[in-house]
Amino acid sequence: MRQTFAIFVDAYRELNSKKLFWISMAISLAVVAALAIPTQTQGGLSIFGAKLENGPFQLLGSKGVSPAAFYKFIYSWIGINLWLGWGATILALISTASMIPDLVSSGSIELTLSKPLARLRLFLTKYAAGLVFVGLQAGVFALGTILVIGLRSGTWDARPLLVVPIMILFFSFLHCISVLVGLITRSTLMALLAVVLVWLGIWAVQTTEGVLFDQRVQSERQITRTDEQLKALRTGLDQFKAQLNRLQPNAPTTPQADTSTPSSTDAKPDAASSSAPAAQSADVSTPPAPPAPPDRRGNSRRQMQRDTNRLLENGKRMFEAMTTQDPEQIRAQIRSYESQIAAVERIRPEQETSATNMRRWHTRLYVAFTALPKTGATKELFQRWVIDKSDWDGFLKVLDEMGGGGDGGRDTQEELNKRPLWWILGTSLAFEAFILAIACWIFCRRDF
Amino acid sequence: MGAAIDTNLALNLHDVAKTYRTGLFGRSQVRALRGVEMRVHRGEIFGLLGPNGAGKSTLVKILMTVIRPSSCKGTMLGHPVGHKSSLRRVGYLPEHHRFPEYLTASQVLDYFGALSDVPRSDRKKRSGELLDLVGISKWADHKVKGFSKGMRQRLGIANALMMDPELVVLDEPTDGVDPVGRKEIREVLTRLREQGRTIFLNSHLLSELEMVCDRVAIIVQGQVTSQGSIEELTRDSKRYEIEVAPPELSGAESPNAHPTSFLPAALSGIAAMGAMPELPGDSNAPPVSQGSSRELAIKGTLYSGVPVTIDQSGIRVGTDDPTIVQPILDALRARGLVIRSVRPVRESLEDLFMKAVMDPSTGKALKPGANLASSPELRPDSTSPQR
Repeated sequence: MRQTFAIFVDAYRELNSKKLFWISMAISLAVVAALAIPTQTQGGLSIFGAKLENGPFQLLGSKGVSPAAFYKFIYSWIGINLWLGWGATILALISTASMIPDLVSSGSIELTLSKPLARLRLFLTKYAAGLVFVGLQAGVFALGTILVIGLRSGTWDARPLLVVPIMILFFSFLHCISVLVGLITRSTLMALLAVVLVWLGIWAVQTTEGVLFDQRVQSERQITRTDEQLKALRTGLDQFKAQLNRLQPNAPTTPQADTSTPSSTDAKPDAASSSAPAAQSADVSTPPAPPAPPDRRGNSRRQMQRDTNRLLENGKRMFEAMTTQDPEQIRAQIRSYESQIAAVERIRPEQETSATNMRRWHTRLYVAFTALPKTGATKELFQRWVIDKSDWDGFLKVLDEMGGGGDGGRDTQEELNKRPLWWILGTSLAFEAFILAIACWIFCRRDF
Repeated sequence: MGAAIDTNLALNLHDVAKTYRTGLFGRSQVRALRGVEMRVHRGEIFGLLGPNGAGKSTLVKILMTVIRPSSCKGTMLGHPVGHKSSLRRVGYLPEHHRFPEYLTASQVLDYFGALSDVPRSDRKKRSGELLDLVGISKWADHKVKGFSKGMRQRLGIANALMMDPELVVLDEPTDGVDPVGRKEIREVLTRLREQGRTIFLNSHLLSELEMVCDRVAIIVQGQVTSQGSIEELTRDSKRYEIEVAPPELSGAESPNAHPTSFLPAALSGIAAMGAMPELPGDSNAPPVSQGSSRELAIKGTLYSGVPVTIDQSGIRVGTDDPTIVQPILDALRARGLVIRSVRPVRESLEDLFMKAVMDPSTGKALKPGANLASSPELRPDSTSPQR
């Protein structure tokens, strides 16, 4: 224990001697102070009296989120994602990249290895001591956040302290790369270069996986919606046929081709054309328009809302049409429904193919991403753990009111939030453990 | 069954070998140590000598667990070499050591003392004492970054003593230290020996080793070629050297007359001398040219059985007994020869070292290291004392 403590004290002394550490600490405090300046208003926020209540600022107004959540959101988005997640991390990587090369340098390693301390323990302790930088930065940031939230909102919440383990975990996923390369090459520059490249690689894979995942979710939802619409169209068609049978038991249920009505081949799979039959018969008894077929692109929540409204309207019209006793009007409806069904059935295989391709590509990338540390998702754990569900709901409600909730990204985000903690942290820690195991093996076996 | 542990030995090494693998996929191998046998007694100052690349540092690093041996059957302070806990009782000063530059001298001692598991109270107490001992106490709170090489070396010695060690391993302790500092370090070493500690010294400064070491070992190409006290190692080289002025020829001294030309006759009554060796060219002429006769020597034996040699420097009598020399002096005086000096002589450590590192077949220094595939096996000097 004495030896472990000594190594941690030494790590602090080393950081203390570096200007970068104090520069980083000063920026952390400045960020905390700067983020305390905005004041929440009902429709957004104000900074030194200047009101920002348009666009995305509306989301943070008091009608959606509580004052405490307001600060948690801005600390999470700006303080953690931008400053701690990028700025402070880069400074920490620069500051700690030399730790292992310095340890294993000639003249230094002899002094340490000749002590009654097992190599494995020495290495792992030194590794852990390298996380002190981020731990201290995040600790100061968390305390500042608690203080600001408490003073500005009157809510004293200790959960922002979770940023300390989150940032330590996040940094450790990168630090292990720096340590391994620094150990192999004994070069600070190489260690730094390697960790930056790996970090960029992880970011690229993560972003691509996110885009593909979004496409996959949207295409699958599209298929589901198409199937629902097909089902609704067929149900409507069956009902019209049944009604026609009741009125004219001997008449054929399939109407003759009529040039005055759109044929199935002319039907276009868009909402505009689908409303044509309804318009044609509107002068008779306002027959219902069949549900609009889905477009090929991924639909948004807003479009889903429009679809739902249209379905309700069509249901109402259909009810009126089904109560009519005019066989011609019913035949017109049957023709319209049949053409719509044909159109939807035509695009359904395309959607299926597109979804299959998307699923295949995403699965490949997902497997690759599973093996890598989840740096982005780890940072987002702060939002998941610290911001209350009621605040999230209020936030989303405002988003819907703004009409911005229709973005497909929200569906994707919901799916992403369902990814289990063990997958985010477990696979990342497995990656870290693997890299560390290699580094430990080298350190324990090498002749210095 | 392991060998019984001799508690009188601080170090008892058997069959210490180390082969380095180099090149692509470790195809090339260099045997840095080839079965080192060495014993260091408790309470002595032991010197390890050897040319560059002989394997000295490798051996020290194996003892300090910095390098893993290919094979090692020895013990250090009664524990197998590599036993980490026993390092609590071993102080070490590496060659070209590098302390963290952001630490002060006190912090260096505190940090490395803590790594040696020294309690905090002991560290605080010993830190001041040791800095005072090595003469840098007024620099205690200064950062190492501003230290000179000599000061760093002194700090390194203090650091090696921080855990109150039973065994102190010092690799080039006087490197970069001025003559005054060297003298002080020698005094520190002597004091440590008086306290019963064992000192293991690795140094190139043979004269300094000679001044403080009780025993030495010479290591050449990964093997110990000689080992013992300086007295034991140089016993065979002890002799008396008698310098005699040449006789006057025709009233004038002939300063270039070679001793082999006039001394054999003087000793004929007390020794059986060999024949005059022949020189190339005029074999009858006495060797007067210094350049051509430098190696010229006549060997013989006193009737008492002691070997005697006449060469350029005079008469060399292979004994350290002064009574044996007296008849020779009498014979020289009887001939009217002037005796300039009579000196008891023995080989220096440097002579011993040079003899050990020279290849007798080529007369050149042996190359450092030994490639596994190409190096000839070195035969340890079986006549050298090893105990």
